[in-house]
Amino acid sequence: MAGTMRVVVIGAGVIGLSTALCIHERYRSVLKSLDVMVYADRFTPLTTTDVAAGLWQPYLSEPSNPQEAHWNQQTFNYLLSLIGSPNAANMGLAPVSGYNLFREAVPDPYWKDIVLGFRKLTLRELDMFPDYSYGWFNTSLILEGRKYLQWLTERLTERGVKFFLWKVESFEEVVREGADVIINCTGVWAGALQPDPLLQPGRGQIIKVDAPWLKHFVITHDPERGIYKSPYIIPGLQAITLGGIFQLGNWSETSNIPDHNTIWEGCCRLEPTLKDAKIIGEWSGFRPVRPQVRLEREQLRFGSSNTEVIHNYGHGGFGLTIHWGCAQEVAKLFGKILEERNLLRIPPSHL
Amino acid sequence: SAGARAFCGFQGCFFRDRPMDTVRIAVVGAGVMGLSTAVCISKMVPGCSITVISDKFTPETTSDVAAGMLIPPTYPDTPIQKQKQWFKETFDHLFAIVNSAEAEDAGVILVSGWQIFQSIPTEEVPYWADVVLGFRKMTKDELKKFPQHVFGHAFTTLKCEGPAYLPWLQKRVKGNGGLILTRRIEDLWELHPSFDIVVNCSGLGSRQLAGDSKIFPVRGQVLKVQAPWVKHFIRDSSGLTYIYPGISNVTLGGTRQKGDWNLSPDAEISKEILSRCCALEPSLRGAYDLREKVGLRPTRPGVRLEKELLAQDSRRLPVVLHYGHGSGGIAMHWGTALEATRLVNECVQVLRTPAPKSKL
Repeated sequence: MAGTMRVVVIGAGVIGLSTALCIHERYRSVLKSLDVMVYADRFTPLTTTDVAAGLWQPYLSEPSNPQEAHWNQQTFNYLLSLIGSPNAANMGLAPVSGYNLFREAVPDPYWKDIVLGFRKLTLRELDMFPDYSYGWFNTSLILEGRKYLQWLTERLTERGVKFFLWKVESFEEVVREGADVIINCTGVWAGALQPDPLLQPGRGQIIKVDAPWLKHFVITHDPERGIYKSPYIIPGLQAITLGGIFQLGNWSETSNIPDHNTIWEGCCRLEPTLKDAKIIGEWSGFRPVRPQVRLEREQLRFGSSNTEVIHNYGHGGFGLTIHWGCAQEVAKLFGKILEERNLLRIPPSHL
Repeated sequence: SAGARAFCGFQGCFFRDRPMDTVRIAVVGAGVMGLSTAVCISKMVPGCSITVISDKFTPETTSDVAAGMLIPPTYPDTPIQKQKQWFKETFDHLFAIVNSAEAEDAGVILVSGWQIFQSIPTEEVPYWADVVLGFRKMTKDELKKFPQHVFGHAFTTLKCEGPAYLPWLQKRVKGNGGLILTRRIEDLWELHPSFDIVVNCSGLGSRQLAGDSKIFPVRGQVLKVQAPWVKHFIRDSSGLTYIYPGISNVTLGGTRQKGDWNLSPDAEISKEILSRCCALEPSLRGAYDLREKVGLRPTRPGVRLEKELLAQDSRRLPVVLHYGHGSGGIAMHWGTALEATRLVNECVQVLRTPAPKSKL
């Protein structure tokens, strides 16, 4: 028999909102009633997602959990299928091409066949970047955090999903409110709900500038220093994001001058015309860094009831890159919960 | 002040103090050809003074309407090797600018994208493939974005925008001591005897100024729109439909109307251009702030690049002709300007050589 299901998604970044949408799209029609609510203490433009440049690009090395590679691919293919829709730009989505630069030859990344037109740089192209001697060119996608969150919010609102400005202090209080299933998308703050020593902030700072003559992303790599610690220039739909900061364990949310100088000097060296760019603003955010994404079910017992929690956090600096694959995985786990509770009227169509 | 002195023709007004040896050169036309030729002459031909004379300056020249993409056309009457040389020289010149801090001032940017074909071309690799960057055939996955097309090229090239590039060239002309004069020339003889050599970069104006019936307009209408999310160029191989993202707008085109002199935009054509471009890039339906522009491409079977000695009674006027680039003006300008400058140099050498007893 079909039943009622109350789902609370905690977190309104890209992970929370996309997971809410995915669940609603898949299961609304197969349940007698599905109530999805989003509880968060931060909404766009104040989430970590809003600070991200939005370039689809996984880390260079293979993830320790091979499922993550699969989720990255699913996300790219999903976004690519939306290119060609007149709404793509409204979603914050556009194709973008560009350069990954290295000081020495490196192996091709595992995602080289996911992106479009992947190839090595020619010598003449490398002439444009005197500090670098090796690199790649490929076409990827921009998914601008702010625009995408606005779009997701509209889609969810259309579907009757409700949003609540609420700083959740414990899973228990959410259960007391009547939640049957909790989707935990709290990102870097997940430790406040349940201690997780594997989760750390990877603080980033970015400068947004107006430099509309720049059409390509340029990402430099310094394997000794680590990911995101080397300058990068990423065009968004309107503004350009300059970055190159990654500080593990730093919880400072304010932008600081030394990091500003690091970013500015590094990027101006890469792209001298930036001297003419107007600075729009500067932001900091915490990448939710974890050795692996935590995407799993957990049963919590409060009093006499069992509550299902599905965790979906710890996406580091690749949240936008991986989000849809993870949302679909959570939806699958949610489907299993429904099956176990005999709530499914008909098998859900696999979107 | 240069304008004020133009009241009586040019006789003696500017050049009272010139050294005896200075060769006085007039460049007619202030589009990309006139200005780039003036810059080349000022750098490469010693001992000359340069005056650029035109009735139209940026932003009202044909070069200001052009998108300025470095994707060259093919001139039927010019050997391919020569075209490749001109294109390469232009590309190298602009590539040096794009890698400098001046790129934005000069209006030169790097842009990647695709040229797509509805049927497989006989020539799969064009002559200019190794001049642009990273040229390769499109992959099957890339072609999925264009369901009506079966083949394509992917590459990175340059875009050189008139409204920024021409003022940048003008600054260089003046910085090298050149003068810029607003005046409509009806006949090249007006420039005699104030000038020793004339360089004719007047584009379509050469129909009158050079009596050249081979040059005719190919009317191009474009839309310049706001669509900052478009980061790639897309060009249908026919050359009729294209999307060229620039510094502060995206150019959507276009038309090729032979023999059409009409400079006023046609609203029906604008609708039709937008529709063709939206078919290639559906997100353009969200484009805003659409502006219509028309340019008349100065078209000839081949670029006219040669010397001519005009003679009338006892008067002689050496002229270097440098016009007729059709749709390839920006793409070829520096290469042809260098060649025009070599021709100017030859004229200068002749002037400096003591004349033989017999008259020419």
